[in-house]
Amino acid sequence: MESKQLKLWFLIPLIVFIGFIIMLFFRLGKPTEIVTNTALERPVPTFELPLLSDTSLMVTDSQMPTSPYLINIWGSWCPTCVYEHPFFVELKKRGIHTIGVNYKDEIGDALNYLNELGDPYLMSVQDYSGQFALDLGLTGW
Amino acid sequence: MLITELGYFALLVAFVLAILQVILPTWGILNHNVAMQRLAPSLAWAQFSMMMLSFVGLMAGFYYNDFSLEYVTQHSNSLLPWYYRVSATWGGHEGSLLLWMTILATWAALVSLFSRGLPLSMRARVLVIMAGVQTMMLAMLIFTSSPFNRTLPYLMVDGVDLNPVLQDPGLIIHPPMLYMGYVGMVVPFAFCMAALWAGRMDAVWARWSRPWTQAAWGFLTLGIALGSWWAYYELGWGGWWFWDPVENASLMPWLAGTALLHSLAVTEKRGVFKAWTIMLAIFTFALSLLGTFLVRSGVITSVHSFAADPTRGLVILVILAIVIGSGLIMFALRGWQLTVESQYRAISRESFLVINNAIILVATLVVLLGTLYPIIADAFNLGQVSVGAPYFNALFVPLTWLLMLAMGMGSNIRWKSDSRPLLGPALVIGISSAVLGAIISYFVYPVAMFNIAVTVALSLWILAWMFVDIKDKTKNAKNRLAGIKRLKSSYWGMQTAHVGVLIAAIGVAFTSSMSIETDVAMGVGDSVHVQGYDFEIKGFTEVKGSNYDATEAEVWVTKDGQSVATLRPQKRTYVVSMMPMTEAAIDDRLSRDLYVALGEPIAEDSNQWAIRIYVKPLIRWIWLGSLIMVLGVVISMLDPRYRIKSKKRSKILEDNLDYGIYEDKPVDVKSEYIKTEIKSVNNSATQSIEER
Repeated sequence: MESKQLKLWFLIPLIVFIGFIIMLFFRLGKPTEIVTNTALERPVPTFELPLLSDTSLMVTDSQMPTSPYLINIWGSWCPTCVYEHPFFVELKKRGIHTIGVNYKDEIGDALNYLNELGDPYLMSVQDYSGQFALDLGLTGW
Repeated sequence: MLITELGYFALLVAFVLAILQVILPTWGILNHNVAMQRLAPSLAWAQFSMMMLSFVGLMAGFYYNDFSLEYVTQHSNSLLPWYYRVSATWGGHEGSLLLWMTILATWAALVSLFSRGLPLSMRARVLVIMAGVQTMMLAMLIFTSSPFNRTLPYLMVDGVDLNPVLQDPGLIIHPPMLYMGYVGMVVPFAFCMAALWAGRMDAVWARWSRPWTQAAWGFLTLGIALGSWWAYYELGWGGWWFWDPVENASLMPWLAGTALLHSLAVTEKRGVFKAWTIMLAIFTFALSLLGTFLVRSGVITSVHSFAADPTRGLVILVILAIVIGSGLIMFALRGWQLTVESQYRAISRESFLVINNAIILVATLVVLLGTLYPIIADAFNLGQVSVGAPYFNALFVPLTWLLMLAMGMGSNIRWKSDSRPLLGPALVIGISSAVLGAIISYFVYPVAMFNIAVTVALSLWILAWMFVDIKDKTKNAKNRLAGIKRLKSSYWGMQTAHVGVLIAAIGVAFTSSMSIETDVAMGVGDSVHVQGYDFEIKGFTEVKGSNYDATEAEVWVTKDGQSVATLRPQKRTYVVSMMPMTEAAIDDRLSRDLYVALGEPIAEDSNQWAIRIYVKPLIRWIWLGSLIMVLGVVISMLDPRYRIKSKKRSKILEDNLDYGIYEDKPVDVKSEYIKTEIKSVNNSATQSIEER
């Protein structure tokens, strides 16, 4: 009886492993969907980040506009950002305030990007480490 | 090119040989046919030569710019310098898999070379298991991702170039080292499986697999350190570890391998924890295979990933399931029969190794969970979450401290039971190292002294115990020197590796809490003051490399008016792919690194550039520590205990060849081993009942 119990212990790794393989199997080929509602109904996390256009100035969450505004996380290295950029320019024309969060980017690249494509943002903050974007609930890359 | 075609042919031959290497010796084992079992080593050698030929064939394709090969076209270019063309062989999915298998064949050949003293039936089993893994991997390579596919009848004039990030000396040696480590973990796995298969319930396999585990672990350490060093100077971020899924994929087998090294020591010396050790060997190799899977399947997004492909992912997953699944089935069927050969008390080396294993295993699971969390969250509909560095740091740092705490006393305490009065010395050493650590960190960096203080104190704690231990171990000798000479090289290896750990830990603590980083816009003649150093831009020049154009800045670094270094960071544009690359310039000293990376010009026609400057204290210590750890395992492997005297014994063994169960009590074993063996025979019945 006791030895039977002992034998069962040695089955545990196998069972855990099978579960693990099944989990990986169902993940295969699945597109890495981006769920965008993780930050829903939550206040903007506190932050203190340098202003992109002049990194000697720090911006905090208390300086955010009081009227409704959008936050967009972007980077000069990100093709999707280039693709959606005209949309933000359009939004600016319609008078919608957008705050840019420049994510894991070189400052020169970022400024070049805005110079070339136009700056649709009220202001952009520099999130070099990516920590703030993580706080905002960014998923994917 | 003929040699490339020959390489493809050799690959197919190697596949057939691997199948034969599984079937023939297995038949020999089942039917007690010695001749068939003897084929295993010969087949391993034959397979190794074929794999080498195949690998050289592909390399030649790169060297001679054979752009009719699809794989060469995608990863090379005729403008590349020859050494990057050659290292581009493992720059993509197919070629790096071929490297993986060539290395597996190399390990198999090494095993057949150095295991002549092993009973043939054991040797054959080990080689059969390795060939089983090889067969599946080769099938995947040949049928889903052959690097030898031709683009004919179309012919590309030139290739699309190797990713500029990979054009670096660090990347020439990093993958081979890493794979030597990854794949090397197959050897302890094969030994454990062979032991279970043969029904060997003693612990001799532990001694056989220890040097192999140490070798693989050493390579893995070297590979990871090289990767971290490369990321540091090549990516231009000044970071040395990013907790990226692919980095984690190499860290997990390293951690599990570290636990395995320690657990093997107990199993070899004391004949306990056998099931646990086997479990760890399976786990370590499973994590190696998992790493291969994660990088290539597209399951997890990462900057390092190879082109994601679910089909390849599925094949690797199937291989993972078969290899590890059959290992675990074997474990479930036979593992409970493993005997316990000795007992120990609460205060003993054994207990401390349990603590060591528990902490390292928790650390491994922390990394595993963090890496796979996106998948787990997805499976249980918890939403999508990114797990970043804060999670890993928050858990990993305290775990490392705990481990260092245990390491200090653990390597000092005696096997079985230690009745010396240890509390007094522990208190004295503990309090004095804590006070000293606090004082040192106060003078070094009073702003954020906690991390530094704890790490320094723990390092002093370990060092103090080390000296106590050496003093203790040499006290019975005629004089100290004679006593020191008598200590075994495995002992020195352990102490060296432990010193490496604490050097790396100090490096991490100082670098992560004291590094200064500044972003500035600078033009010619501008200068900036960072942490006591003045950085002045002397000028910009245009430089032309064989396959890139670059702007190079000349930065003079002075301290209190004294010249320190001239740094030349570059911003490169690779002509074929038009990819920009930052080439940081670093002045490295043991005490600190000065790191300058060139960003972009601030505006189109201004002469101001964005420049990033870091001062990083003690960052070299991280890699120095890793090298010392590797040195530690090398010293330890030199221990004559591991060298099985081959000639005399193999003759005897082959004469009374059987299932390979108990016939080979090693001739050169020292008395302690025999004592435990005898005791175990006498006590095993009673003890195993007590254990249950």
